[in-house]
Amino acid sequence: MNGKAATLLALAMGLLLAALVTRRGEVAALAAPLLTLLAAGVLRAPAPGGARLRAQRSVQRDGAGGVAVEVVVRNEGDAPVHLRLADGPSSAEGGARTRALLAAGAETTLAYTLRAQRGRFAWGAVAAVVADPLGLVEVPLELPAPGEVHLQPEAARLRPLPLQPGRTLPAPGSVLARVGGSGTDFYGVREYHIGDALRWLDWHSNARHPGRLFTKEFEQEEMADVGVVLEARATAGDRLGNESLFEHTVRAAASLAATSLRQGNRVSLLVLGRTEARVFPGAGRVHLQRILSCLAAARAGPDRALPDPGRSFVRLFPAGSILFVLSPLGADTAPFLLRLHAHGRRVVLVSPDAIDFHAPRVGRDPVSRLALRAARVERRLALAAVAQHHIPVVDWQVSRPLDPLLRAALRPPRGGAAWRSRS
Amino acid sequence: MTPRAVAAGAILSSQALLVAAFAAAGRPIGMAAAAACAACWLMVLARSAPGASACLGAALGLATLALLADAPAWLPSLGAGAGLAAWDLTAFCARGERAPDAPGERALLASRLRALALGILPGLALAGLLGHVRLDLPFAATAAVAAAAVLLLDRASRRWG
Repeated sequence: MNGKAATLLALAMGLLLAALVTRRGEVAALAAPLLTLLAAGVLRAPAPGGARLRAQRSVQRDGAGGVAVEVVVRNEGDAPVHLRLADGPSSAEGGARTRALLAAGAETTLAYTLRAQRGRFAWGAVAAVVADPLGLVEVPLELPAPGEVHLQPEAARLRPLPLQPGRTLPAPGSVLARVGGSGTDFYGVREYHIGDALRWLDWHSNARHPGRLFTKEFEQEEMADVGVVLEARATAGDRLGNESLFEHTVRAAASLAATSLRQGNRVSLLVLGRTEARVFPGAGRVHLQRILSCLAAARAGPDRALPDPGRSFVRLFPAGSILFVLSPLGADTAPFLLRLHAHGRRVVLVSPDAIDFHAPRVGRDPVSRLALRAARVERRLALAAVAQHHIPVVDWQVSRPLDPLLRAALRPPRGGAAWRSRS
Repeated sequence: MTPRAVAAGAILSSQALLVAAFAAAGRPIGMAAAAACAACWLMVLARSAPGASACLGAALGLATLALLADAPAWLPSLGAGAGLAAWDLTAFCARGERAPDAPGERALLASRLRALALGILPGLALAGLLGHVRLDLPFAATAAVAAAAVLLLDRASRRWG
């Protein structure tokens, strides 16, 4: 019996009490329709477990960046059923409700579209309520209809990155390893050894040194270790209308990981957010899906201290790996970067500009403009403090493409290989 | 006809019957109160706001007052019955969920109206019959019958609650 039935009962009792006090039978008679209505509801109440309903769910991405959810509920019993349905993912807002009068064997459809940019959404059971025709006695039911969808972040296609890691792995890749081997770039000339291909004999050197043979050598192209660190603390989770700085950062992380994997490197991922998520180094398309799934579930979390990149990071980011740290640059980010750098990783800071992102909603009055200017100066100084430790910095206004900024930051400094040295 | 139109019709009928009852009893204040109750109830219906139960309570209170003012008993009884239907239909309209299509919604409304008719009409007939039955019971016996009724209702609410 629900609140509606309780109201009827309370009003009927009130009328009976009024009749008792006034000693008027007509007042008591006023309670008769209320009681017969209640009795009608109770007599036609559904028996617990009496309704035989079956739910089927289909979840698929639509073309407009949403998820189309459709639940079909079928009455497999012999009697008609008055039904209310409510459905929605367990981990997000949104969903839909409907009601229906389902004849025996009939079915009803609950369809809605979930609007979300990214995330992992799961559905368990459809919440159903079977009631009498007046809705006075209700029996709640859970109709199992599981479903799950991963909305992975969109990975933009970046041009190949000119990566210069401190160390390469002895596996074929696309990073010049600064050792002679079977690459495509000319590396040098050395004396001919038995077994060398005759087609690579260097005839100019052979002519200059009669009696000796020389062969051309090419620079080996190997695989590198690339790490992506996504700082997802509360400062990164700011929103401006439908736009979120964090979503831009997640997409940049996905693009960097996808591009590095496409170049034939091993990629690992660390997300420092509500929960710390790690994807250990790996390569290939399956690994890309692993990384995108991890990024799909990333949520901006509370501001907490960044971890110490000591031994716990050895497997995740081996020494000599190149490390992209995506961070809006908090107060403790610079020491974190310096510790990573000190442990032998080639760190590249990609910092989405939170000040530029929020600038449109800052007031036009002189005080606000001054505050904005001061914040910009503070940020510039913080970036300069990082850059003076030879850490390449990408100051990224998220409205601009990341690709050219990254390529400019990764370009070797004047003087050649000062930034790179084979360990 | 939409559920909202049917509910508005039920509200107006119920309160018109109460106005007529007060008019028959010669109580203009009661007439004004019934008209005000109708206005409030229509507003609740239009905005899908909570308060339909309070409106029904007020309507039943007015019906009781009309009976105490010696209005013809059938007018307040019918008013209470119509008010009951109006209350149920107001709740039906205020629910957030809708049937996926118009025929489905019409089928639901038809089923609801049938159930209301089956629930209220016997009650009104019973109320009419009770109006003609006169029992002269001492106060103690009346109180005992009332207590038994209350106990029975309480049991019923626990049984199906």
